[in-house]
Amino acid sequence: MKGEGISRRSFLKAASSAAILGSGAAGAEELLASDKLPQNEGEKEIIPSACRQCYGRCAIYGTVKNGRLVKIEGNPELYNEGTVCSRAFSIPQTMYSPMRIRYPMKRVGKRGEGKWKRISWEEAMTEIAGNLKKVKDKYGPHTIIHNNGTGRDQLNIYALQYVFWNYGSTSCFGVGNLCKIGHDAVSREIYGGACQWSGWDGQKTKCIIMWGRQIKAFGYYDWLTVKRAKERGVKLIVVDPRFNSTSCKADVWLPVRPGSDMALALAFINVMIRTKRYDAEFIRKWTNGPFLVKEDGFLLRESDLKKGGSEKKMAAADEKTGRLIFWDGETLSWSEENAVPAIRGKHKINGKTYPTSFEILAESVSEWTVEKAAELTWVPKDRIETAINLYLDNSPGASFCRGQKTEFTPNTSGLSHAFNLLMALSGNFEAEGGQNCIRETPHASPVAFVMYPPKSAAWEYSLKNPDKTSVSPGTQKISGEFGGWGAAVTNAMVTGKPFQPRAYFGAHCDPILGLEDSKKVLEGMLKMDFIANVNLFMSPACEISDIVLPASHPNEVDRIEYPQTGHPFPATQTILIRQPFGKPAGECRDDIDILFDLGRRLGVDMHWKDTKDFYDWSLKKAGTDFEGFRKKVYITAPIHYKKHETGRLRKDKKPGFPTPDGKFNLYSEALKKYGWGPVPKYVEVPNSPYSEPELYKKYPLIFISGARSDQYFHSEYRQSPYMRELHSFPRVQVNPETAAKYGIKDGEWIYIESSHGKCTQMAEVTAAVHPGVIHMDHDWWFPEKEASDELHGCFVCNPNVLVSNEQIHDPAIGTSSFGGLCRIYPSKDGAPAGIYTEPEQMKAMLPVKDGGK
Amino acid sequence: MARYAMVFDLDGCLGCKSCMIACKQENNVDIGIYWNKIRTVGPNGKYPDLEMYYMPELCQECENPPCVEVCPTGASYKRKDGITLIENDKCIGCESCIDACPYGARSMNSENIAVKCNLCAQKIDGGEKPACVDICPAKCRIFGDLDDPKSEASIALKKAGKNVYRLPDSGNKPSMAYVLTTLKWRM
Repeated sequence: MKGEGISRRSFLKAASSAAILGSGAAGAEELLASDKLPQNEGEKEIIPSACRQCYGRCAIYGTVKNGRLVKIEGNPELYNEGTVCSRAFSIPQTMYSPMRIRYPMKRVGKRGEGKWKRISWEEAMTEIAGNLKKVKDKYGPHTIIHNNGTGRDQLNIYALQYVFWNYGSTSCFGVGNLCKIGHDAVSREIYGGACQWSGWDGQKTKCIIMWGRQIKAFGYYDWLTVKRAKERGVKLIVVDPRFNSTSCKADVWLPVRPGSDMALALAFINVMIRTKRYDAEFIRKWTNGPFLVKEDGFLLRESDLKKGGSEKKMAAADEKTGRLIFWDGETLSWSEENAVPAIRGKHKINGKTYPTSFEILAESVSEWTVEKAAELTWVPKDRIETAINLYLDNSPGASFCRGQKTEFTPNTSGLSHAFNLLMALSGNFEAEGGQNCIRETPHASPVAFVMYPPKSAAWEYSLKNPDKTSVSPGTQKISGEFGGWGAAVTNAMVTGKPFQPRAYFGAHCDPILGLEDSKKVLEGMLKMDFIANVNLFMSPACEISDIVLPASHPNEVDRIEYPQTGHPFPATQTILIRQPFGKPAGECRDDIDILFDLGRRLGVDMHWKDTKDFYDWSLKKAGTDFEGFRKKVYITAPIHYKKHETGRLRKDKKPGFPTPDGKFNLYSEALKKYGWGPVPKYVEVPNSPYSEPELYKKYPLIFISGARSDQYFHSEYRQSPYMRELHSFPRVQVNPETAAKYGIKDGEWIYIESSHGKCTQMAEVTAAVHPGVIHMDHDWWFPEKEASDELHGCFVCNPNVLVSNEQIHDPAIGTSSFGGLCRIYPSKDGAPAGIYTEPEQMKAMLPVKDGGK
Repeated sequence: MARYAMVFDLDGCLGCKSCMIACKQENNVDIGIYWNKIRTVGPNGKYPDLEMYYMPELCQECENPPCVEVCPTGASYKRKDGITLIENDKCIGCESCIDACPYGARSMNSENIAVKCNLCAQKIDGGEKPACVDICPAKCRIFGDLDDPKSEASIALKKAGKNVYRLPDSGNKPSMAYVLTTLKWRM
């Protein structure tokens, strides 16, 4: 590449700052120099692998020449059909970046001062294990916080959880709460799967809804499926506050007010029920819709009606005879062979009247007329009507696909419930052209890594004693992290309540950038006795660590990539190899090897010998092992429909859903206990024009952030010159009317201020947003700035400093809103000092010709 | 004789700019310079009644290229297959071609040599397509020989019928074609 033309001398001149040399430690230049490659080492080799620059995990080829990756291409054999996005081309720039951390380091200055000492792996691991043990002995293992970044192949997340859960650490900052885990966990509660993420049948679909999801958010190949569907006449409905690359391809665009999605979902469900366009037989046969509900809101059981009755026998009424019948949750059968349970109405049992749970849902959503939804969501009424009719008239056989941003609300659990109802009750679960409820991958997914026994005594203890070990006791009961996460961790760190977290171990993540209330996150982290981080680059959180470990790049290690985040078939059922394009840089190590090492030092029984041992086991299902898979490159499992009817969803092979009673929980007792209610309800987001009208007078604009960028993945790739020259600045989208009102011009820097904080970004004046809404880029930091310069400028452009974490959280899963109210005004300061503004400056981040590897 | 060009399916283009970077990898393009750009056209209208599409902007492989005409040294030349190229050694950096190109498709690189999209002639000569074509996530860049009615590009043009647009032509005859079926062409 052209950048390689820069001579080593001129590079070192350009890169004389500690920030560029990544480590800030003595020896960085020496190690770069010692990395010089022998010339003509070998022949040109083309290696099939996977891109991990986002969750799309496109199949790629890497051309390796003389031991160095020189070219990335798409692999035409797989679902991405040879296509890749711009980020794939930043792989070599990331692997060979002069800013990579190349060896373990120990902090020698103050936290954030940027002074480091190179140490050996043995020294680093001994220090980490010793400090974690010290904290465990003195304060208890629950005071250790573990944290992971967005994992893509996920094994790094599960390996981390395995080590720390077994050690007795229960709390995690994320990343689940910033991602899909809220919806995922709620879906598992409702029906035992996560179809919002397990895929849709794009080839056969009759209608597509993309809800809060850019087609090119991750895995741009989704567009090929959607485009071909459109060419055969399928209509595309897009729900998004912004007019983006997806909205502009929509047949119907629903420009929803940020945070009000629930009103729209409830209108869909209400119209479906009111116009009887629901799948009555599905509801009758496969859901708990016929179950009767007591006055207290819990389901009527045999044990409520007679002494010694079973708690697992659920009462219903026969539609024809009106007789009391029971669904036996153990045998998965009705008490009468030809029972036809009533799904609607109120039924008299032993003199008392009970509604069916579906009746309660129908009543509960009845207020959500299209008119009401239009008023609250700011979406034109006719568009809502058109969209609802399109979806319902094409069901079964309509598909639904959503993005993560709908997760960023205090009502994630309710919205996930509503999305499930929308899909399932309209007959789209397991239907051709609809939702694939549970994906059937050819291997055992990495979830098995963490779920597999043995479980330590510490793990069992924290599960049984959340009052003593969780940062959010009593809430977040339905979630993937049993000790609480996100804002609850921040608040515990800052206030010491319910206890003071003492140590932190993070891998590939930065809570200072990614979480709400960034400044408070830093304040809390600075109270830690000990911090260790594993990363590719010195991110803000690395800079306040005691020990930093250098991780291998994803294309320097072996992994099985498996499908995530709701792509159409066949991507959903394909596993793909990710194998190295080269040896790890410097002394970098595979992050999972690091966790195996750490686990053993902490006395955790790792069960598996190493990554390969786990992969060999997980591939048994496919009749191969990892080396066999390496030769195959990928395996696609066939798609099956109606899996709930054929027994493919349950371990016992019985028809039904993989829930305790085999039913899809249209009515959720768990969400009644731990969430906003047994059926989805609208909860207005905090910091909105409706929830806080007084504040709205002072801060008259709604801000949102977090839309996916084509060049970045959250806080990643700011070190890639290709990405930085194309997307050089954090940009805030402002409507032209609004810009005129506040004297803001396109391309000028402005301030965005909430009642909680402020940041600056460059204005992009565009009609793509509502005049009352602005959208900010998220997770910006500037690796070119020094650590001592506010941790590489981690606050200056970061919209998360505008968000308080003391607002309401979803009681079931702990998520909260990342948006709010703000005001904007022109900045006289221009671009933040010390950031690269010219392409010429960005050349300093290019790989050196013969170094870096 | 061949006439290599591309047809851009603007109904399909997502504006993801992947082609911009694929081009840089293939052709070692300097940081700060693009041979191939994507411009966002719009959004036009008033929220929420909007229209938007994305527009690839690059050398139009003119039949009568003004850049070749003005080049004093013959560095800019047109091959028989329609591709206009620049011979680096002959370029004196006078920038005449930069001014002559009606589409702003040329720029000067760090060595003061005029550069532009070369349609990846090095790949075409090896029987391959330009680097931006196969990786395009929308598969909306259709490459081919416009003189060959059986080429993918010719077939796409024929299929598009009257929905084919070209950049303004002042006699230079741009070869690149743009297909836009549902929205208004704004140029």
